Amino acid sequence: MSKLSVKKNLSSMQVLKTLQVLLQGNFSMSELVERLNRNETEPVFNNSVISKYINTCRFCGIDIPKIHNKYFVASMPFGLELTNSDINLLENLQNIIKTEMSARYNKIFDKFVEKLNRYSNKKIARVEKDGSKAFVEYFEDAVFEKRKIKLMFKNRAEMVCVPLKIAENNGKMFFNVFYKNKERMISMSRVSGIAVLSEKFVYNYNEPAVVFVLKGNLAERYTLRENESIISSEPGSITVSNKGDNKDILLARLLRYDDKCEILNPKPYRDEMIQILDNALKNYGEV
Amino acid sequence: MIKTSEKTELNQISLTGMRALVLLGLLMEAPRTLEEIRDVFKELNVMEDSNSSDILRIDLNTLRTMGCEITKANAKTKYRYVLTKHPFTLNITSEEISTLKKVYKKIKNSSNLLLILKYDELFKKLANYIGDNNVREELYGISALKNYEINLINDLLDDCKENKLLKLTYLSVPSKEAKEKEITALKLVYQNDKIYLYGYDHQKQESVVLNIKRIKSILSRIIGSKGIDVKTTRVKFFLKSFGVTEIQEGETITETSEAGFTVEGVYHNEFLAIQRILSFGSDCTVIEPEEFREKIIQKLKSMRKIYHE
Repeated sequence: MSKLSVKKNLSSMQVLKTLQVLLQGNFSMSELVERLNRNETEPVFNNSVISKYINTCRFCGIDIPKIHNKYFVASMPFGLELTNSDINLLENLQNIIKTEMSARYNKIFDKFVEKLNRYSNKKIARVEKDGSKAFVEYFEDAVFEKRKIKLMFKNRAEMVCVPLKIAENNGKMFFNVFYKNKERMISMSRVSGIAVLSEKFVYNYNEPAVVFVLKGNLAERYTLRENESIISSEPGSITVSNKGDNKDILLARLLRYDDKCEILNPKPYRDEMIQILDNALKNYGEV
Repeated sequence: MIKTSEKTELNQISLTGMRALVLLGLLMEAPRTLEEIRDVFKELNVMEDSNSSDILRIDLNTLRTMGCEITKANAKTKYRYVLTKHPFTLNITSEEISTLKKVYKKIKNSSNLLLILKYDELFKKLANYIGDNNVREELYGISALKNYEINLINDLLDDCKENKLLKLTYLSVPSKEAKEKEITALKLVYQNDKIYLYGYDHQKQESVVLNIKRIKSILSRIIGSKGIDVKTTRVKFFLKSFGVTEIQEGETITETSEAGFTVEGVYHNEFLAIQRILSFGSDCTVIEPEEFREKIIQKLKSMRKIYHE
């Protein structure tokens, strides 16, 4: 390797290092000095050179505002090329998180958006909270604190129950609760209010693994879901274990497989399937 | 990309630093030859005509020292420098990816295929901007189309728009053999994490649903399809409640009472109609047609039989 090939420009490196640090967060000048000198053998960064390097970045089109004495990268001209359609998609996700998911996910996604904003040439807007998000938050707080809840319905009925989790099926949101010894799915659209009660519950909710057999063509063409595994396989049939799907959603799916599917366990799931089939036949006068 | 400037404005900035940033930006956009880089530098007043190309090579080495991986410019790269990796990439945490996954899961099943395609492009774009290979794969892994050939999907969407007659080979499950089929493409649908081609099979003379994963090859496409008489399945049924599902395309509520809803559904074929009706369980009673009602009763009986054997 020739001598020239390893020659490098020190002040260029320092500008790039400054940009690298600014991409990591919002920092005051003294914090920048401290961070940038951290890996140097002797302090080469001071207020005046960092100001010059920030100006250099700004001159190249990198938006570095100073707000409340903190510098940060707001956007990069040669960063992520997000189109208006990309922004719409991200805002759509953000909207769903704001309205249907808990504060924890909001916080994580806001951080992600902040990061994307740093690297992109376009801004992703923030979305305001709406009412249903508060329900989700109350519900998740109650699950965490192991407290019962009272659901108030639009038809003025009330239900005191044990909250299990928020569930979703084809875009429809549900409160998954335990009521009168049965797991139930309550559509969020039916709920007008939710109160977290002081009464604690001791119900230890563990989702059971549901085991079912698939036969014939279905066994051969079946695609496992993320939360499923094959526990045994024979010519013409497979036995699948599913963990984590909501009971009502899973039963509706397994019903579609008609006589090519049989639930083996747990017994309450098998019994409920038998009950559904018996009741369905009763609808047609078949007992 | 970069604002042009007069020399007088350059007092408070580092010219060499500016060259490094411009070079980084140029290489992030696309591979460049030394000449292309030189032209931009001259345009931005950060390089004189008399300067030798050694300055540019030093700038390239500066980026390399900062952790950028830049290939050599040779015949293989058409004498362009290619930036393959750099430390100014997006750092996405596993927590952020799992949140994205969670929220995407909420919308994907109720989204149409075009929206799913747009999200696929977005995830790809974000993934390409991530330095770490594992994180990149994890992020793109969110997309419902990660295991699909996007070109095939786009081609089939076009075919459906023009109802083209496709001659294709399809792997049928029972025989495990690829068979030739003549299908008029009608609709491409994303459903239950899979993509299906709704079409009309000219050999069977019936409406069929093909899993596009099992299309082995498309042998020909003909515009101006053979005349077809698409036979949909119409079912009128009573529903106590939609339960965990919602009304879907092709279904109309014709009557609402305290006891429930009367629904009329039009389905692409009988198989899909049967699946839909069975999924409602005991909340649903088929009203007409009588023949279909009888089929559902027989299905329910054979399903119950397996639990009583």
